[in-house]
Amino acid sequence: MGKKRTKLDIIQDILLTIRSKGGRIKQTHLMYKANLSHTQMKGYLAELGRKALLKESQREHNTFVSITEEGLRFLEESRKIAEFEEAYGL
Amino acid sequence: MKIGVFCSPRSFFAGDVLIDILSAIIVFIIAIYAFRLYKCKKPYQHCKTLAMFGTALIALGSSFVIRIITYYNLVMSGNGSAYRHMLISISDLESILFLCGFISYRLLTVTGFFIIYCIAFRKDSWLSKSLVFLLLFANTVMLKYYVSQTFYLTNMLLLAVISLKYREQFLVSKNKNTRLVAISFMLLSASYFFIMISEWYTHTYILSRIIWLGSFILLLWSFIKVLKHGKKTDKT
Repeated sequence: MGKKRTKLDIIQDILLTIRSKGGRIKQTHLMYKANLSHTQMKGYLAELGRKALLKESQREHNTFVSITEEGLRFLEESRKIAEFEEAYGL
Repeated sequence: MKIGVFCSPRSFFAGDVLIDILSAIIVFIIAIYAFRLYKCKKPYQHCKTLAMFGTALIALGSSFVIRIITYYNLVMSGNGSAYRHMLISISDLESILFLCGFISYRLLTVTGFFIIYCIAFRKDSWLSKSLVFLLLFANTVMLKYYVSQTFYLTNMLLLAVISLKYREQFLVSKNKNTRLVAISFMLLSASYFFIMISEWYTHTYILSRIIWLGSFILLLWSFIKVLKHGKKTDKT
């Protein structure tokens, strides 16, 4: 069994999933691709929305989630954090 | 009360100061970056080790700066080319200030290395960490002439153990930067070995300082590679 994902891992997965889909994705697709339950996803979307990393939009009865510039920056920072922690054994 | 100090020659003091300043700059840069990452990660995840690593480097950097200030008068009062083992009597205000600087330098150095040890061996029990701390503390506050060597010896052993732990991590992760960090700590350990034997072979002092500088340059190199690799992996 794989290691339990941390909160940061899940946030990275959400942001990477959206980025890999060209920066915008349907909410339901995000839920499956990031391996989240509906409740979990709603919680994360609300938090990331508050921090301006993501934004939600309605289009033809579907809710889309898109990554913001801030979200892309955060993704880059989280990569650096992972690299730094691995190199220095943190 | 008298304390034992080994003093580099005045002719090498500029080199000594330069090495300490460069080492301090390197550790401060990495520490500031560690705190920046800590600030970025903290709202999402508990990341005590990043803050601890930053604190360790700040302690080390501060100890290098204090060392320069503390040793300035002592070195400048000697002749140009001689290495000196000195017994300093703590009697007047100037010597008390020297003692404060000397102990601060040692305590900050040991604190910095001990925090890095705690990070590397964070899975060990608090009992074993406390024992290591007591050993380090005891050797730091022993100030008499010959006992002074035990300070270098314990630092050398501590750094060797940290280096072996990083090597172990490298064998698991295969991360080349971790290998650089391991080599860097091994060089620091070697540097303490040469400082220790400078009691008998005074010229190994310069060698130890050159190795010391080399280890910090390696640390800086590993940091630059971390930054570059962090960018690369994000683009892919």
